[in-house]
Amino acid sequence: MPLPTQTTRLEAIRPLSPRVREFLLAPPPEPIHFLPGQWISLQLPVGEKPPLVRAYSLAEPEDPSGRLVLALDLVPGGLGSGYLFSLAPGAEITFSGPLGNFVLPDPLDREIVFAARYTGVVPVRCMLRHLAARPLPVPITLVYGGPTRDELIYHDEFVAYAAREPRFRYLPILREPDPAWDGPVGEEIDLVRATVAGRPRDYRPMVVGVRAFTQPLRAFFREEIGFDRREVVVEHYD
Amino acid sequence: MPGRGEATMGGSNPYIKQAEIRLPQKPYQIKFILRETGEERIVTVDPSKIPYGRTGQPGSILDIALAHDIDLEHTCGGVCACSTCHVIVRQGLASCNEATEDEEDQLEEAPGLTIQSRLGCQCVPDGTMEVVVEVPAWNRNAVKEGH
Repeated sequence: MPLPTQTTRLEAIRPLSPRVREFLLAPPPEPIHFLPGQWISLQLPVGEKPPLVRAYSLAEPEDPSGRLVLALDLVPGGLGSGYLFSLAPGAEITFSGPLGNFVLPDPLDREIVFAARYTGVVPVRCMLRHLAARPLPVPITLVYGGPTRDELIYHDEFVAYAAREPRFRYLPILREPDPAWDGPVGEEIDLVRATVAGRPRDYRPMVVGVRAFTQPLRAFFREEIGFDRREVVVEHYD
Repeated sequence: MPGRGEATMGGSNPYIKQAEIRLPQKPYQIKFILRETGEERIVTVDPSKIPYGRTGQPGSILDIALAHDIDLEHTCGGVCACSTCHVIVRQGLASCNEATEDEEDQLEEAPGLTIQSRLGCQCVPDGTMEVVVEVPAWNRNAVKEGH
């Protein structure tokens, strides 16, 4: 008995950067209820043995309209993203879910330090949009690394949120120098280290991105900082 | 998520512990026991065909199952981000790569967890032993629903 699937339509596409787009899906026949940070599983009619199953994070929290928003990058040679980027509004999308355990702690009773790389920030953005409806109950720090300034998706939104929410600290970093960037450049892990150095383990680390990013961060929080494995919440997508 | 399954910003880092994966050098057999239907299927893995597809670790039990029309759920697309491809390796576990912490994290969410449990998308036999894999009857509890 596989997980039930349903089919909806692609309503609109919004470019976030040269490589990342948001995909707005019409309200599905069966409304889904999800936690910010969760993802849905798409069944795409491509590949040698369709369907090709690929999971994408929801970028917007649950909305009364029932619309769903995904955000993903076009990966060179990527079957799933290549197919989705070829679609026009009106196309059918079959999916199951929501799924996923990368969600806000409940209760939210201590600071969260997020470390996200590139499109790994999508589920974090969903959580922040959810939290932004009211004053933050705990401090939240986001260390967020991108390849270039124009691929640092949702950057302006995070800057604006940090300007109005005193408990939200936004720490972007680019991995390579960029003429359009006067902020920090380097490895995210070094910025994370500088951010949490010398402080007690009174926060929850949440790490999301490709494994080349999440594995060193998990090891850092465990081996250098002393967290237990279960205390470090990790999501990766490769 | 983010073109899940398709890395975009790799890089080398001394913290990375590469899970050691040895691919098979010669053909070997996997017996799949499908609890949902009671069916048993024996497939011969051809090392020259690995990766069979583009889902799961190359040569993983999921990669092999999908290529042989064995229906193994994999809602995250075979990237170790859920537990729906949970299998029990009844025989030949010693010939498989070791589970990473990422895999252990996900396995903890799987219903009916055993000491021989693995994620099909991450478990890669090296072909030195015959392997027997039990696919548990699918269980809704594998899915953490929203609120």
